[in-house]
Amino acid sequence: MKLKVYIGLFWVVLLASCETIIEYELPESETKLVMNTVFNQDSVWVVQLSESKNILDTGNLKKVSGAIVNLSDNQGNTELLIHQGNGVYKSTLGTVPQLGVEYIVTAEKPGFEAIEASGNLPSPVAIIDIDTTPSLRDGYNYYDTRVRFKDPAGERNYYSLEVYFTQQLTLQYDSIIQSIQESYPLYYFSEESEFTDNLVYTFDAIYFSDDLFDGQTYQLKVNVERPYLYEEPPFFIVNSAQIDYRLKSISEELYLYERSRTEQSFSSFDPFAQPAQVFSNIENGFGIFAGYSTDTYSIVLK
Amino acid sequence: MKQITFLFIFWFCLSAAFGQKFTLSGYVSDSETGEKLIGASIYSPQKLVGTTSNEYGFYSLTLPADTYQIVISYVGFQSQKIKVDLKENITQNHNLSSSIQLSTFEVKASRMEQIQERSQMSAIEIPMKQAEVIPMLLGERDVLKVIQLLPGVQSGGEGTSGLYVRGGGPDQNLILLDGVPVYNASHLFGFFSVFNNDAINNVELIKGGFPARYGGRLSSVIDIRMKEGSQKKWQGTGSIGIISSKLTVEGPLIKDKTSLIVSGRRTYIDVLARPIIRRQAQQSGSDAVAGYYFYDLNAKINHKFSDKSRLYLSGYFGDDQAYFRDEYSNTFNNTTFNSSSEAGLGWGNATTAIRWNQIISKKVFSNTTFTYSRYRFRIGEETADETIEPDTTYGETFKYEYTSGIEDFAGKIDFDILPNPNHYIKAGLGNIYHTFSPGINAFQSDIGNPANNIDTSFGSNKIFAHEPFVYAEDDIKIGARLKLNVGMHFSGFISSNSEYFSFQPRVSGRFLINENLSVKASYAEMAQFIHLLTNGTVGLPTDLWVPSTDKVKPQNSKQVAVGIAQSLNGGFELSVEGYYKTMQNLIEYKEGASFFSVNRNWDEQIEFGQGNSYGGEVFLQKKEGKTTGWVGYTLSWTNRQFENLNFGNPFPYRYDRRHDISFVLVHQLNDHIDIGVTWVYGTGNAITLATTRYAPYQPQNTLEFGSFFNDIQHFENRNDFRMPSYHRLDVGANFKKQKKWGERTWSVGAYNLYSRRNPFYLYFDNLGNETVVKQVSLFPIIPSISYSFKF
Repeated sequence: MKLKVYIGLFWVVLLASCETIIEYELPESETKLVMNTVFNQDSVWVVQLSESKNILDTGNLKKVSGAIVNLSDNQGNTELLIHQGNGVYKSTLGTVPQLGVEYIVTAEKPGFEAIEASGNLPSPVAIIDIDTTPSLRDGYNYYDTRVRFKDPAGERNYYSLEVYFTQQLTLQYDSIIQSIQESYPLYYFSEESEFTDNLVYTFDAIYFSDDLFDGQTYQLKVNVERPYLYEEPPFFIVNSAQIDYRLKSISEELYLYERSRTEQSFSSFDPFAQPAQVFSNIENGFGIFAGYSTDTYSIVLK
Repeated sequence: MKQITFLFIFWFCLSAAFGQKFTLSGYVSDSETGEKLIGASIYSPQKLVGTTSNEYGFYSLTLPADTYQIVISYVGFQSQKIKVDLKENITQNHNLSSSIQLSTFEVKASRMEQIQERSQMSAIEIPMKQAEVIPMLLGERDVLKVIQLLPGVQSGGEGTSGLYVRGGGPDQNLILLDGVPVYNASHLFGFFSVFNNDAINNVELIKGGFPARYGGRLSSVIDIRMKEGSQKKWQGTGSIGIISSKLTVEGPLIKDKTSLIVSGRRTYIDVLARPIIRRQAQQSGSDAVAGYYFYDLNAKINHKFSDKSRLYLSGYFGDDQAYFRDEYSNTFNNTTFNSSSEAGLGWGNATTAIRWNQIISKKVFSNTTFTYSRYRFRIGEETADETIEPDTTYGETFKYEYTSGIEDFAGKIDFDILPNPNHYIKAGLGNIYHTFSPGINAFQSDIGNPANNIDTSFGSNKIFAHEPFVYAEDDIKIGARLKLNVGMHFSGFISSNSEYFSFQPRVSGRFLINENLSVKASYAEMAQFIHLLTNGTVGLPTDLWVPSTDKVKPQNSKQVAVGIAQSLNGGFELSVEGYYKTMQNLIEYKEGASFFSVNRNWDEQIEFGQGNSYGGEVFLQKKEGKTTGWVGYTLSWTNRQFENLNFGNPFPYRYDRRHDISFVLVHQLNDHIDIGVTWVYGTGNAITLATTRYAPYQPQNTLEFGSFFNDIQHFENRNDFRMPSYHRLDVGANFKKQKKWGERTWSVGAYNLYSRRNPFYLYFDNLGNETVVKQVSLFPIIPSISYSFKF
């Protein structure tokens, strides 16, 4: 793979010597409100609000305060979300997104065009069971894992899968005893060639659609890094450890957003790649307003 | 039954009443070399009928018994006027003398088949004599770059030899070398084409109104015919240039019977740069060696069994090779560390053809051909590390290789049938057997522990497919004004997982308004069963030829064109054409994907869409006289639409070029000096630029740590910006002198004379307190000098 880098370097070196800064007239891009909200049943409503900048403007992207952010639903409920600082607007009534409800959020601030977005929570899809088999690949320990779930028939569904390792530790040094909990995503990959057609990898999850298994009970095969439980009593004791498989049923908007955002991120390192446009469902603005529902299946290691 | 008998007798009597017809046939050749002349005119001024020689120099003209004045003419050659008493079938070969031998370059006006008389439209024959004078980058003569100077044809990027014809992609050009498809016609990342001008006899470009004999690509046919080699005497040409040298030798193995031509070219960038690279490497304490070179070898033998039967064997072999080698050794505390690495990048074509021409009768000419064509690409690296301790030695090796390619075996038979001057029928059939290797990765690693060693390969499997075809066309003259070329091309594609078939009607014609002016129109449907998975930004050898499959449908197009063609005083020809073309089942990489991210099956990386192109072209050309050249202007629009690109909205194609102008002037000052000047102008290429950036979504519990995602860049639409316009002036001159041993020529030239900083690509660069748009340009003024000789 190094050679691909060499070729890239060849071009960079060849071309770098012939660079000139040119006057290029880009159209004045209007500053717009940016709303980023990804919601689920387990947390109260939160909306992140910031503003966009012209691509040539190197200033920091500002968080937006003083906006009127209104949340309403098709049940006739409405609530004004309150600014908590840092561009974060939150439900002070503790309102939590509900299944089967269509939500609309609007944001207004003088000097900006008002923005609006709508969305709902997809129904959760339960993990039926998970099989794991320890394996050794290229010198590394894995669990060959099958995650089984029933995809709802007759509708297009989108998913993401996260695999997190959580352990409860007791640390003892000198005479101090400390109890800590740590949690981090495990590296994993899928070898299913047909399946990978729809697969999007991000730093802690994969995203995919049910195009290839609509309505079926599907066994998703993934190879998950096997965590090493390091213990050295009495200084380092693992009290409990588990792997959480979080199958998220996500909206199409969230799938398109994550997919296109990942493509743009990856292609930014590749001068030969086609530019990728990022999906947005915010009317008159930018960002994402989308929901997901999670089902978690835990495998206890200790 | 009686009625049929009656009709037959009636027809027979009628024929007899109008007199018997006889056929004059033979070959037209260059008297000096015996080289066949393609497209020579054989014309009877008194009857106003004639024909042209085919791609093997054969002609056949059937006329009523009579005595005729026949004029045989060809551009750059002195015309011959002969008297023929046609009372029986006559076979007569004609040898024309080059007009240059007459101590003047000027060609007197002769009765040629002129532009307005041809039923074919959107076709241009490349004048190879002019191509020798047209100035080029680094003085490397290149026929594909001459084609780029024609209207309707655009180059991909600065200095490259890619062709984009009437809005088509680089894969939609059928580039034939002696009838064999060449899949990757570029050297050195596209800066030079694989064609060595010294070995080329004739080149024709067809952009629309495709005759039925051609198939398999949507946008153009570039039919390149190699020289056959002199039948008369041994002779040679050669040149020594800034980056390459070449040598061509040709002559009779058996005089007037068997001839041979061999032509080779090799660059020596690697040899010239080696001391510099070595010194640089040594200064940094390394023994690294790196280099790049390419070579071409063309060879052709033709043997005449009789006037009726000839055999040709031709081949082309070319490769590009880039390499890097490094070694390192160090001893410390009685332990020696050895390390070596080697990397390579190579690609190349090989084509061969064996062809048998036979005159079956005075009116029927056949050509049976078997061909082989192969393109392959390879990239690989190998590393080895070794540690030698006093009592043990251990180490590891690693090897990676990626290969891709395409290989064709083909056979076909073509017939030229000339029943009378009003019909010229061509028909034929054949089959191509393709083997596609669309990307195979091989890994080998030996880390000293057999349990953990790896020896594996993965990637896309080879795909085998048949591409049969059959065609028929007739160039029909109807009355004095109307001439039509009507044909049908039928082709199919059969692989293990898919079958596709396609009927492609073709028609083109002209209607003479007066003897100098005609109106032309054409309609052509084309199908293409293979695709080039190419990166839009630059043409690289990594571009992948892939077949149609059950998921990937064949490309097809429909093109209609109308225009006028006129011969003007002073040897000028004018053509004005408008065209509209639609294309379906085009493929593109998915957003964010490129070769550099392809570690999976190629058909998982593509999107399907459609395109259209329309516009007008003006071409004013002067072929004869001391001053020759042309002016071409193209006004065009080209768009693409893909369901999953640009959110399904249409967008301009990268090479959508609103205005394109080319000016080419070749002038012979005297017998010793000729000069060439070209100027080109083109609207800037379409590019995609972000206009806005904004914050990405970040989980709530991570906000306090700041953003760990890149800002999102917002692109309004794909390709909705334009690079600055492109223009360039090139000049060159040849200084010839006769020597005892032959002729020598010093060629000097300058590419981009006024050193215009033309854009290659643009990008945003963050300078800390500001972001600016930077333009990368490739070539400022590049002078060139070369020495060439003929003996």
